Amino acid sequence: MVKSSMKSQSKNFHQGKLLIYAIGNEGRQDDGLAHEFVKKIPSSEHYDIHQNYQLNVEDAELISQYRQVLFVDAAKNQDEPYRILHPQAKPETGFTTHGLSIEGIMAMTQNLFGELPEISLLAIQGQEFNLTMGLTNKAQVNLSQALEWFEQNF
Amino acid sequence: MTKKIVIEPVTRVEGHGKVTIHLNDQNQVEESRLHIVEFRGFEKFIQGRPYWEAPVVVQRLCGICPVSHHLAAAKAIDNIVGVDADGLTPVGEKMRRLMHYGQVFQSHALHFFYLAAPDLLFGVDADPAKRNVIGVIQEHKDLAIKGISLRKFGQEIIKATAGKKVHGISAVPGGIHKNLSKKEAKTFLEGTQGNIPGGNNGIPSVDQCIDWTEEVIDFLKDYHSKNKSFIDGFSDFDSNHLSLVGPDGAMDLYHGRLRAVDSQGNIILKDREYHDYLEFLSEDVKEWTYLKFPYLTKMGSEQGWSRVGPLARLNVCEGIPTPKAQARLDEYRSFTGQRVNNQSLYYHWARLIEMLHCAELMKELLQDPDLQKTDLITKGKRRNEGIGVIEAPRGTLFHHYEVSDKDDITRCNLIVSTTHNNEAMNRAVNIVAQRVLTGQQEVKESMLNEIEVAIRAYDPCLSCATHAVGQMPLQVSLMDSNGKIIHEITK
Repeated sequence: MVKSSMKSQSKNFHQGKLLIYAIGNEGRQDDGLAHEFVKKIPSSEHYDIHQNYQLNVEDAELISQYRQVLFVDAAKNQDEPYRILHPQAKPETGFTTHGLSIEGIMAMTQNLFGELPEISLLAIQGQEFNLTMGLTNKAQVNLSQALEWFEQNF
Repeated sequence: MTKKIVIEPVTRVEGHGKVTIHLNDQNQVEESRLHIVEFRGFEKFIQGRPYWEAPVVVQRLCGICPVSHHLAAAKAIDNIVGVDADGLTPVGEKMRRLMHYGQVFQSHALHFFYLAAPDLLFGVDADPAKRNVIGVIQEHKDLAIKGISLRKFGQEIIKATAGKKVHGISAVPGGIHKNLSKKEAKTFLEGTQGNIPGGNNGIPSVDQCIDWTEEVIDFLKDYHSKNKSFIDGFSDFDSNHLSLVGPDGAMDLYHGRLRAVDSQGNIILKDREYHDYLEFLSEDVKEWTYLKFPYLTKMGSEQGWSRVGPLARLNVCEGIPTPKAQARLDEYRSFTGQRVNNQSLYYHWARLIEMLHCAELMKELLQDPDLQKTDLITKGKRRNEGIGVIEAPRGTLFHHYEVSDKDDITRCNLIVSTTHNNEAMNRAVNIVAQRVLTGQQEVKESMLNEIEVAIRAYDPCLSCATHAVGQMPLQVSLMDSNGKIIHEITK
């Protein structure tokens, strides 16, 4: 479970802020879970929010600026409504640079900048991923539970 | 008994493509094709929508080069509200130009550093586990960091001008939604502190962008010198070349007239107004791909197709109206000894010269007080038809809309840049396949990568011609004429 730890005073690291990075496509139903999540959390001086369809190489530079990063993404095949995962850096690339994994980005960050923040992934279970806007009812329930977890921990 | 080799998906290009190669019993290449496997249909989807939505909606064609579609659509919709390209206010046109140059700059940076560099640095036959952007990061850290910085600069320019890095919103009918503040301009002129050389949140200065781009051009020039016979002989074939040109035939990526030259540099289409494109441009269709084949009507589909994009633009233009890029153009033409270059792998060098040109243009605009003006939008007499053409990173892009009196779009025709290069990419694939596969008893991964290198040089945006749905594993299959798999490689 990720705990809020905003104690870093390093002037090189956004004054100890957390980066919350939402990944997904709102045009594909529950793939927009992460974006709905960041819309619903309160604004705060303790964290920055970044949103994108998918991870790109330059995100290695972005996350290198923070001490803690919480990625938020929709999950497809888990039993729990949400899970907190702790990915490990792993050099890997698929057939396209526009579908990089968190593990791959972490490895790039380590290689390029030395520093690697504490990385967590909030995976919220989605139900349907078709070409349409709006979350399914089940995804909304899972989102609510994930938001409760966030409220208790940040 | 024929054999078929399939490469699907093609790697290190934007979007999803497939290559099929047919070998006869003597292992000679009989035929090879680049297939665009996804149905697009955007021209139909957009019908019925209000015309003012087009510059925003049409960007969903692509998450890679959305700005090009945003601006081409905006230029077309300007016509609908009664405004021609030279009728925008200075701040309106210059903000759009800045946005466009930022887009071309970052797109070219992405292509060179992430997609093309692995082949150039490690060799086309290097271990595929290393021959990718991870390998570049691990063994050429300084180059990788510069690549990330350069792309970031372009993306931040897009954000400052379009409102968002992807699927921006600021080009509106008749102008622009916002100007550029002095503070924003200063950020890009001076750069900011950061983790990477020159930055706090990591934006290099525009002068740094110019310097680093020149360094990369020097690197590539050196690479060309050391590998000239390989590069020159890789995929050389005659073609026409098409692009917009500005006054006096100078390079102009944002607006101009259409010019085409043949493989020897003779002008075959002279500075035509692009609103008249239907008078001289046609599109052919084939049963094995959803991508169309544009061609100059008077020459027919077999002879009238043209290459577009960086190589074509350097071939077509008389010169480049920024001094450093012009000097590099002179150097490039002197190196090749030719006024017109028909060799596919020179796209990479041409692309970097355009990057430099864009960096110089961005520097000029960032110092221009017109960008702080507030007369953002203009209007004229309503029309029912609009056409916008722009030189996107990958080539000449056409957006054409017809609108009813009730403001809904009734017809749309898009000729996306990569479509022009369809024939050229197929020819490049065929030439390379003939060279590397004919007579070979064994199909190696490096041979297939050479075929991909041929496609990759064109920096195709297959995303603009596709709607990708789900994951596509890379599988290379060798099949007999009955479809039985003889040999298979899976990534």
